[in-house]
Amino acid sequence: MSHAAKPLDMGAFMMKRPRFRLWRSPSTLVFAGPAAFLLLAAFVFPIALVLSISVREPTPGIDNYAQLLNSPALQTIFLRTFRIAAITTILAAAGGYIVAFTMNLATSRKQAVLLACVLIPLWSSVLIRAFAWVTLLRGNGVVNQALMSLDFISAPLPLMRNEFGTIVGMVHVMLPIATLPIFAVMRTIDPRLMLAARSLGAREARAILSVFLPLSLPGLAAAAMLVFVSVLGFYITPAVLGGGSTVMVAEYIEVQISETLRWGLGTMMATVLLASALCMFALGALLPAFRQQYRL
Amino acid sequence: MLTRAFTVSSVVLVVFLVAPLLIILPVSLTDDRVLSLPQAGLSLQHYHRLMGSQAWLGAAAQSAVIGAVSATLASVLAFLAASAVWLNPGRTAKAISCLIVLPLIIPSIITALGLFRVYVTTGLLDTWIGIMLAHTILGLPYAFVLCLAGLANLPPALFQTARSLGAPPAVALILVVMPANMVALLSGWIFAFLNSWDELIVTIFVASRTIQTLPMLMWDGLQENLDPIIAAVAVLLLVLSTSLLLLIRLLQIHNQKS
Repeated sequence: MSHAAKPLDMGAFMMKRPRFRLWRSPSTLVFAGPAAFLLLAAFVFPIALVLSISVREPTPGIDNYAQLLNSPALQTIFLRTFRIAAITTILAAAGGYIVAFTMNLATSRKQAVLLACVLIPLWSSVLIRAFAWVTLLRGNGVVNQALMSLDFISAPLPLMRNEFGTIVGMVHVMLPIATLPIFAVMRTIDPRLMLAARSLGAREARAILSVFLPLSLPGLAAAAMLVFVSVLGFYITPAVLGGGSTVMVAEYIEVQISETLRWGLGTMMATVLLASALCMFALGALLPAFRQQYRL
Repeated sequence: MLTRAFTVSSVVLVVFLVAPLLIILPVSLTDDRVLSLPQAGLSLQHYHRLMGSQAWLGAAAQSAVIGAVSATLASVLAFLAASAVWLNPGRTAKAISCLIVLPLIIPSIITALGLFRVYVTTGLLDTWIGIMLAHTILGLPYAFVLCLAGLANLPPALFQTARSLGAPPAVALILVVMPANMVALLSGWIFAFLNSWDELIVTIFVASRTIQTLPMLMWDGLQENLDPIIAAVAVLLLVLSTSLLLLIRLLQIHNQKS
């Protein structure tokens, strides 16, 4: 699509490029300056400052980081965070692929309906969605009451305040985020390729698996990276649906800062979280479909 | 076969996405005093309580003001920055883009820590300016990405023509480029507003008593008791965010026609 052949722009070869245009470079600075200054002064600088506490308090040095190696409790927090993030990523990416696939084949009216069903949850508040799941999943919530009135179970199932509830809530938040980049990539795949595969004798499943899937993989990979980066620092959903039993890194940091006032430890965890998120982001940025989400 | 399996699974997934939001409506109409589905009949009592509650209405007003101011600031800054990137693509532009989308990438708990500590020393803690500043920063990436997407559809010659006709850069940008990019700018404003309207974690850290936003009040309600009034709030908020999305869609359709 974007690789359509362009006629050679002969003018570009003939014209000499002006070496310096006075209005060009100053305009970049003047126009982008305010936003860049605001971000550097009121975002990057405060974060750098607060993270530096991790090597300054309670004693200067890397003691806080050494704790990470020695403390099984801290390691459990990180392992749990990565495990929940990985499970959420796999479920959301798989679900997103399926929804995007259907959206891609649907008639424009059905496509609009599906898109609305993806976008409305995406832009409703995470807090409201966590609340919605609480009404469904708690001990005498809607799901348990329905199951009990149908005599499927005799006692309420523990559906929240555990990892199950956390993952359900997080997949709900992440499914729309995963769907959109996959759909964007699928739209660029020429539908005639599938027809060609079918006419050459491939069964439907074969055509999808060996023609469509490989072409849509960049979208799937971008979606997975996008979800993983977002899930690592998640706070609200695990705090509400995990109910203190499945503490992830972000909630743990909050407890260190607000309750036990261990700034050194809290900022050390924050630094490790930030480093992991940025590494994942850098990895994701190798994919054009990922960069497209941020217009980079 | 596989296509049909995907279609059936998609229906299941869409129900999974939408059903939890829909279930809030009957819960908000419950005749019971605790969070539950309606038992004997429907009742508007929780909406009545909501409309009579100073705390909830005050929080909604505060959230609206914070959202409107910070979305406006974010849109203006984002439009200028996006124009710079659009006019001069290159390494500097890449660096600026990376910088501006950072708030999307950095987990909000880390932003919250950074701003909290700096606000304590600068006296911005629990002030309107402090919270609006924080929300402007958090809204910037949304407005920026949408402006860039909108500008990508415009020919850069638009700006250069205005320049060659004698308009100074700022005039060319405001009188020529901005009207042509209005839909993206408005969509960016709406997304920045919604982001501020829903923001919780950073707000919890930088606000405490003077300022109580709507999400802060919902958060307290979720932690303490599950009052069905939250369901009524949630329904109204869902109606709001859905209408704003619809508005963006209508703007886009209008734009495509003209």
